[in-house]
Amino acid sequence: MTDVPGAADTPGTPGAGTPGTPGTPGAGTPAPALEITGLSRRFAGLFAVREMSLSVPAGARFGIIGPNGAGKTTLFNVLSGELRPTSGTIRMHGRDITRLSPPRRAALGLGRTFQITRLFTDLTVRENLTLAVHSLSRSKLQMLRPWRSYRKEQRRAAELAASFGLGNRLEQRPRELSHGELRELEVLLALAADPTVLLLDEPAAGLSPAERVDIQTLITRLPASLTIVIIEHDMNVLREVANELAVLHFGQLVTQGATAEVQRHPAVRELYLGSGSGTGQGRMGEQ
Amino acid sequence: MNGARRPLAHRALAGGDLAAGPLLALVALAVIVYFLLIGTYLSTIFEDVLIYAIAAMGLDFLGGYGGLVSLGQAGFLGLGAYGVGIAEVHGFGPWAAVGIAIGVVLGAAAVTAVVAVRVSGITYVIITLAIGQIMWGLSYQWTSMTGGDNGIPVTSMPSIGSFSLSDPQTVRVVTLIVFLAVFGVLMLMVRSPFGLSLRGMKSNERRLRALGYRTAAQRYLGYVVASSAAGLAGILYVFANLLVSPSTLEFSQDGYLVLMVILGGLGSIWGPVLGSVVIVGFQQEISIYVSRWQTLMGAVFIVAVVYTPDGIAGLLKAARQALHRAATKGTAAVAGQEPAVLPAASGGEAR
Repeated sequence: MTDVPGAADTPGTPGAGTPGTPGTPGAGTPAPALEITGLSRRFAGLFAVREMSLSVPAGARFGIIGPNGAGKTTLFNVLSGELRPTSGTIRMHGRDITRLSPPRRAALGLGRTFQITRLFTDLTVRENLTLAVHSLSRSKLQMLRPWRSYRKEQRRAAELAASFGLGNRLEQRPRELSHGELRELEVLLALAADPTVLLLDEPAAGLSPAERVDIQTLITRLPASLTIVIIEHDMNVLREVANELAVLHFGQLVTQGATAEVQRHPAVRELYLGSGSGTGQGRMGEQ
Repeated sequence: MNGARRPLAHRALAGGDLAAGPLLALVALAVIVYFLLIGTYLSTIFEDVLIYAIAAMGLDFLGGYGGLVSLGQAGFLGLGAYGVGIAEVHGFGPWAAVGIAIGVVLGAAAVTAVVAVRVSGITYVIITLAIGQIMWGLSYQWTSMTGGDNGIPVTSMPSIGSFSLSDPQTVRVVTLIVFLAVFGVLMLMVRSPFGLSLRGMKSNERRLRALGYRTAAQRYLGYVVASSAAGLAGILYVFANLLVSPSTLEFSQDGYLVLMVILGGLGSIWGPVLGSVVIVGFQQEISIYVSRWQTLMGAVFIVAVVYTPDGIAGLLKAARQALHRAATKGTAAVAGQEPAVLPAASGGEAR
């Protein structure tokens, strides 16, 4: 486990000797799937993300936890390009993507889901998935051929839906789906374009216990080659899907390491349980 | 009720007979062709209906499917018309004038799209309004080029052998052919991956970008297609009316085009055609009998928006679903079964 020294201190010059800054990978060493260095995002006078440095190895299942307002979703928005960082750099598989737009990052293999479900609500499940399947091919600008005539893409959309229990929902619109199915569709849209790095923003939020198991199963069945970074409050889900955790607080990285170790870390227990908690059974302990 | 015994219209609306839909479309086409070619005053009305329908379908393509409603569509209609007129005044033959007009429309659309596609929502409406008003201002004040308030008469008509647009009937036939071509192309486009992406952009642009779509490209192409349709309508307009003046592209024309789309049904290519029938009907037929026809048209518009927000197309779709439910219920009752689950809408264009 890696403690982040000075995490609670005022950050120094952006990018200047930030602890944990990964070096350039040597020959034969695969570049991390994601590597962020001295990343900050400020809104007016408030730092939502502050001098953060993280390295996510390829194929990792990387969880991000932290109290509300810790900067988790802002970090995702910066990683996916929806927000420009105030300072710092982001590399994906060794390539600097800091200044790239969301579509360019998606084209390089970065997929994401949203904390609040963002689907194409006027379109059927089939149309949602078709849009996603066409997203990275030239066919998306094809104007004179019906989208239903693209057999390969249609098969892929149907297979995706069927593989995660939405096979009989293809002609329905999102408003006709349960909340659990909506969250699954949210993940499927991100998966349709075969990303190499997938950012999952609270995929189990608002789900019933049974639906949580479904979404958890969906995530654990994803290919091992896919790098997953997941924000989640439910430690049961994280224990199943994440082998490494990073803890954020007030936009800063508190600690990072194996899931079990991070759960036992005193700073983390204090964040979740308060200073007088001792070894009591709080939210984190129960989960 | 036995489906085979139901009237054609019933079957087409209920969607229970694959051949009935196209048959109804053929009947509608036959009616249009009859009135267009009958050679009476009604023919000129139907000619105008088709010309404005072409522009309105273009407007709906980007507005109804992509969520970008333009208030500058009449500007491109005027540009197509002025393109022909100005080229002829400068000594070009009628065919060359048509080519120049198409080039001018495409060029203007390609340039103004750069500005227009950078914004969305109400800002897009205002930007397109400004673009349309700039064109109107030029047509009104650049008198050495446009003839100012008097406009430009068009006297030289394209012809191939004995087939000449000097004959009003030939103009109507050509108008019908262009209308059908534009209708067909737009129907293809809305069913294509590009059309689907336009609908995705209207539904959730942020998600579309996260999936890898550069939505600026979608907007740009959609804008050029929509403007080109208006330009084609303008070229037909000038040969049908033999004159183009600033009134062709004044703001009220933009308003009428938007009314056609909303009244007919936003997001349905054939809806604006019906909207065009209603609006042109008010302008050229009802206005003969009712002096306050604009007040009446406004009242009809208010009622339509309140009670059929999806326009005439939405009304027909609701009727189709109601008939389908009734037909399904009847069939199930005969078979002694529970009513089957309604099949989902086919998606695509017919929304």
